[in-house]
Amino acid sequence: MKFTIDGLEISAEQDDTIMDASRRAEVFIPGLCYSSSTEPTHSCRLCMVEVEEKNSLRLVAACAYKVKENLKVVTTTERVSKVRKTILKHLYSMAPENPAIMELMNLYKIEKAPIIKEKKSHCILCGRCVKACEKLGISAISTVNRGVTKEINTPYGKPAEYCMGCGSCSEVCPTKCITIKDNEEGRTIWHKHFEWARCEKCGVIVTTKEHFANSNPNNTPVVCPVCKRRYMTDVFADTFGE
Amino acid sequence: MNDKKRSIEEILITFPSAKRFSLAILQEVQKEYKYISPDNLKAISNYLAIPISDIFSMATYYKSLSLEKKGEFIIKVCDGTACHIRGSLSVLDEVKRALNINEGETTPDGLFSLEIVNCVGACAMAPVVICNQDYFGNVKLGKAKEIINSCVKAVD
Repeated sequence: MKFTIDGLEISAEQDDTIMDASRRAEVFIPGLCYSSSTEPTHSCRLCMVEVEEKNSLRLVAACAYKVKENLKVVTTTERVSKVRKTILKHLYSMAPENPAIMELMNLYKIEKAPIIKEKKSHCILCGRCVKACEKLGISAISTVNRGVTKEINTPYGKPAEYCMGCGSCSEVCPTKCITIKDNEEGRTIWHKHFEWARCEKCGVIVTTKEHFANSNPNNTPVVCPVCKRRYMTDVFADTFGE
Repeated sequence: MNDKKRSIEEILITFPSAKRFSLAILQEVQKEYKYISPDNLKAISNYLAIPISDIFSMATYYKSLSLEKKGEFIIKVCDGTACHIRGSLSVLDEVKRALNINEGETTPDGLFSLEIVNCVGACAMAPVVICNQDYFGNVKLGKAKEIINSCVKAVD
């Protein structure tokens, strides 16, 4: 399937959204909640573009709109840049001076709006962390409350029973606002403390004990990738001769 | 009033084990126990086989669901525009004084909760006070106390 973004022809697969195809073709459309590895949440609305339908232009979210044959997408109209500007200003007020948002503000040359209220966290409530946790089959976190008090947290704000401290939520967070404290002893995330699983051979930190136990068969020896490779080399050498 | 409460299992068994019944179950539990306790939350999550965080998210989202125990009688004082103009604040003051609690609180004996709502669509009979399912319109000074007293009597 072929379609165009600002006159540039791009190919797309069946069921691709505009965002899927454009990211694959390395045509940049901004988007903070979009990630090819998690389910879409369509929450940041930063990827608004216009598509030509029945000879008129319509505003759609690129991460939600499925590509059709010969679709015409435009991202440079005044309407798009106006909407993008408004959304970025809102996001800025949610996460003032956040590097990810500042980068986009600078890119589109948008002036900073005055900060009305100091925020505790730079969370923009995109829900990417929730989807990532869900995808891993853990679902330790979710959105709590609603309206201005809405936040991402564990049930009752207590250590989540199933959290394994893998840090995927923090990894996918676009504003990097999930507090994760790592030191020599272990990791603290979502009010819970985890001990490190260290490599039996060289003592390097592999991951948390819970995460290792969850992602490996029972009684797997904890070995870091480097030692594993070295160990496997020995096995191969033994099997096939030097 | 004093009939025994149904157990959580008895409530759960009346619903099929499917995700789409989660809100209906939460409402039923709220009605029976006046709140969603951590144990009940867990029981619902086990029964429906959905993560506890999902149920928790839902329980904190809806205003009609509560994580803290609500009173047997929930008194809602309407403070919509029409009620506000016709003196709902003095009605509210009266209820507060009679129950000795603020809005959003529950009396220590667990009998009354006080809430402010933003319009119940009965502006013609402003100011309006709702006590559980009963609507009282054109509430004059002194009327709120009567409502509370009749509730207390009903329990005795």
